[in-house]
Amino acid sequence: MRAGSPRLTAAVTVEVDRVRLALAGDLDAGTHATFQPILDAALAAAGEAGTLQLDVASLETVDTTGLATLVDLAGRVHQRQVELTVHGASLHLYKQLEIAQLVGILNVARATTNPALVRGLASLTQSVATLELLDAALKLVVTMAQFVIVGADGVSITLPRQGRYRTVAASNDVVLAMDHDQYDTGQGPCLDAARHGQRFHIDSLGGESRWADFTPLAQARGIESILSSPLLESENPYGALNIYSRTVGAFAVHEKQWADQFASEASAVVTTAQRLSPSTELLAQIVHALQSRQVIAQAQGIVMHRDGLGPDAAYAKLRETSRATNKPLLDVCEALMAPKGPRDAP
Amino acid sequence: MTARPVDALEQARLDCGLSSQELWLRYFGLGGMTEPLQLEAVLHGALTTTAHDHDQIAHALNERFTELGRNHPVPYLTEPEEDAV
Repeated sequence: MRAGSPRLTAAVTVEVDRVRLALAGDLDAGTHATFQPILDAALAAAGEAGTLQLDVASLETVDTTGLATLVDLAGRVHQRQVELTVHGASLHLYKQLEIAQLVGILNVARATTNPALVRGLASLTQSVATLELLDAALKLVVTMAQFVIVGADGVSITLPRQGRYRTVAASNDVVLAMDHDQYDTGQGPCLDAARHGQRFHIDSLGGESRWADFTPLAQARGIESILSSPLLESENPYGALNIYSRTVGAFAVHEKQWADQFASEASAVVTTAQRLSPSTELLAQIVHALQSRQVIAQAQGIVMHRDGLGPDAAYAKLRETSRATNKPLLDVCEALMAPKGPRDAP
Repeated sequence: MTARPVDALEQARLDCGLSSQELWLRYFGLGGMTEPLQLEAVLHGALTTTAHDHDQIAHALNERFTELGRNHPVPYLTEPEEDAV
């Protein structure tokens, strides 16, 4: 039995003593929903056999949503008293699971005991951990950008990874799918921004004659305008920050300024991540700091919208409350969000 | 020689016993955007920064001082228009 979307395929085979579920492609925010039905089928079959074996040799990328999906799988498997094993994890995926403390829970088979590869693990830890940090920080940037920029219905960041352009942070499924339309057709404002180092803007997809293979795909998703800003290092472009809207003409002067600012912030995060070489302990501290930043940024956004203030003024207000009440700024921000809970992406 | 605001920041860092890395981590957790090496350069007066950034560094230091039982000794350069959030 096979199922899936173009970016993730899953195949279930039933054997005497186990059910195998082979995954290929990307397990992420855009594909995890397609994974569920076949997972249910595999679990139901595994109830009889007693063992579910997940073959991940062809799984290319797993983001934090993908990891959460695997954790959820582990929970459900445990509930049915089925044994779960994960086979064929690449070194990169194994390291991701190790850092996320999932190797035990998912019963992940060690990729190999080849000594040369084992020696390479130390430096791989460094790069994978740094990537985790980087992606978490960029997720914050896109979340903030969508919250702050009026008219923005989705924000994503494109970076080169493992030889091709990939979306490393996306505020929702639609913007992720829009990016993939560009990677698949080889056309689009995000690719041009990343290649040429200029901002590319589509005011109205209906009237756009550039990118003839890409624009109909985006229109079919309900997208009307797109703004892609380049990420630069010393004036050399390497990636892009992409914003789409369901409204024609959504991005005027103000919104372009915001886009430039968030593109700068994303570039700063990428540069900082490249210069850090975190130990595990420092990594934990940085993860905590990232979570704190997320909460503070959301509270800042709430104050900005509520009181009609710019970012620095909103921050100063929160800081003053922290000073006046002698409470940590993080606590002040958490309290502000508590009654309604954090804002969800639309 | 007139004292610059950054001199007060560096002195405060020494007073409250935070290493440069520890200060950067706290400042980063509060939303600070300056990278670690650049922050050191700011504190040594080799790089200038904005009033907003100065105040983020000041607040990271003041939160440490609060933990030590002292009341916000590091002054801010910017004040909000109204107080409470």
